[in-house]
Amino acid sequence: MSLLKIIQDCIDNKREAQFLLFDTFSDFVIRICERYCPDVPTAKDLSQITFIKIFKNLSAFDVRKGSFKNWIQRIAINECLQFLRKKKLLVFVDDFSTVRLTEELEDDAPSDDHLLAHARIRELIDALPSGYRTVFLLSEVDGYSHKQIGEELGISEATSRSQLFKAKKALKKNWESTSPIRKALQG
Amino acid sequence: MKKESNQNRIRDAYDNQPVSLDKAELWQAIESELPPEEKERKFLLWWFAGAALLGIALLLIFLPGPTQEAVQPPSSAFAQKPAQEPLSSPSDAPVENALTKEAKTEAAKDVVFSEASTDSKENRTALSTPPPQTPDANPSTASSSSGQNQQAVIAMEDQTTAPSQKPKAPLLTSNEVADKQDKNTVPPRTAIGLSPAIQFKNPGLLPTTSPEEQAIPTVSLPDWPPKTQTPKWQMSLSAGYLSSRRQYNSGNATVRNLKEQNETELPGWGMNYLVQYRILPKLSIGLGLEYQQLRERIDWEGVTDVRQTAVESDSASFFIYQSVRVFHPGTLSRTETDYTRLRDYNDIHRLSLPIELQFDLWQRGKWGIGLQAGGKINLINWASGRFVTADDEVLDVQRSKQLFRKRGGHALYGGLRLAYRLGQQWGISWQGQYERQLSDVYREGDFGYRYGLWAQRLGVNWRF
Repeated sequence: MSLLKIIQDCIDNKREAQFLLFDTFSDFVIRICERYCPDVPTAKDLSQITFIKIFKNLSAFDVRKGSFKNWIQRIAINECLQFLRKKKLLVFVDDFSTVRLTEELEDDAPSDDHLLAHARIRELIDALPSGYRTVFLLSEVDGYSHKQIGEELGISEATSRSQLFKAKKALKKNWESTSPIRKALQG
Repeated sequence: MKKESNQNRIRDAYDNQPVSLDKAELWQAIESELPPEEKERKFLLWWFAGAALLGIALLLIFLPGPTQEAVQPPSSAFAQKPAQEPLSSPSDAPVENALTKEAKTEAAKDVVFSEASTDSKENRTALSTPPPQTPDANPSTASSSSGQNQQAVIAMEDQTTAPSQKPKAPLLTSNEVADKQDKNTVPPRTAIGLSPAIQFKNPGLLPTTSPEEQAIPTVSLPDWPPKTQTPKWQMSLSAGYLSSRRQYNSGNATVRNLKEQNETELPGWGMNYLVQYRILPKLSIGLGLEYQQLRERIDWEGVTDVRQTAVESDSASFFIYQSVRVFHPGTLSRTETDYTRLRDYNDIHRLSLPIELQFDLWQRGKWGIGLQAGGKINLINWASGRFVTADDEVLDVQRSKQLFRKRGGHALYGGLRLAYRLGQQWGISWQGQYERQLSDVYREGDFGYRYGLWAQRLGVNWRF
């Protein structure tokens, strides 16, 4: 069954197709929600809201404008950002001390396992302040431009650039100072 | 390079992130907030369509065919001259000459009195049947009474008094009755145009002067002018050419620099089967099935101004995005580049249930004018189409193979009909209608004019 057929059936409110769509994209959506809101119950709520929004607005999806995955991604990210804004969890700090983060990470045992390395990368990013983390994720993981980030977060392009720069700097410092991660990246 | 590698590693870190949520639980939560499946509604719709078809089929089977007597002109000589000489028509002469006075008296004894009914058909049958126990009657009486010109028969009014208790009154001919009435200045008991029922059912209201007079036989006459029996139920099958002009309601479309042709033509053809019930003499309501096939053509000119240019130096990517977005109010939207003129074809198939009120405004001879108004419930809509350039180059082959099946398209309509009768059951009509879309197969609020030349075959009777 093609994706377009599944979408059409979902528009027709066929439960089987809706489940199929959910099953296909649930991991993708949950990952986005967990990325922006690492708290599990919050990620679950956001995933639920995202899927309901997807099902309700499927008729607005235009295959000629872009891929379905991108469309879903945009909805999920928008939901997450909306939540962060609503809960006032987006704090854009001007300075961020990397010493504390480094000290915390130094306690962890080194590992060559790639999965563990991925987990450490996520941990490093999750440990960033919310402003840094959100801008970093939008830019580096989800491919948003600074103009788009500015529009989404209600900040100027310059602030977006600055936040990204500082986030990268903090991460770089932590990567260099934590041997397991350096090892994982080099390996 | 190193930057790209790090970026990929970070993306991989998130792409390979294990999902910690319980998906089954999440699906249950989502499902509880989704609207319930519409299976029942679909079933209801199909049941409704099926019931309508069954009803039409049953009506076709059980309704009687065309009733010739309803439009048959009166052929009897008596009926042709009712007003001039109602009581001394030539048909009375043989009766008068043939019967002797004794025979009339004897016959009067044996006449079986029958209550005249309001039903003219029943009345005619009763009147045309010779009296059952008249062995002495002259055969010419029977033959004359059963003849077409002998529809007036002699009857007696008093049904309650036994013949033995009443004085034997001579059976008089109509001329004698008239003479007697003139002499006694008694108002005539029969009048042209009054139904026999009134004459017989209200004898007491008429002034009576003597028992002899009470015994004066009256002559019952058929109704004139004959009542036309217009059928209550009627069916019609129509097919014809359609030409619609529709104007789009573009709504809040933010299309700039695109000269949109808001009006379009939709030529096509259609079939319509309607079962009608006459509520009032000139007003009937109908329910039926209608199929339409229309071809729509829309011309677009110009380009939209949806241009987006982005320069990304930070991520070392540089791209210019430029597009022309062609907006179609309803069925599609499309992104293309560098086309300034486009032509959009749509083939539309519709199956709908029309519910229609018809009012016969005017009729003269074979011509008739009527008003009609109603609503359409669209059961099924199919639309397929393609984009072509001004040079008929097909741009979107994929779309030409794609069928758009959409719900909606319900409409209200009203208009004028000019009809001409070709025969007993055949006719042609020109119909002009205004139609307004109520739901969004195209776009809510679209409206248009439809002109149709229809050939009609009527199942029961042609009304004009």
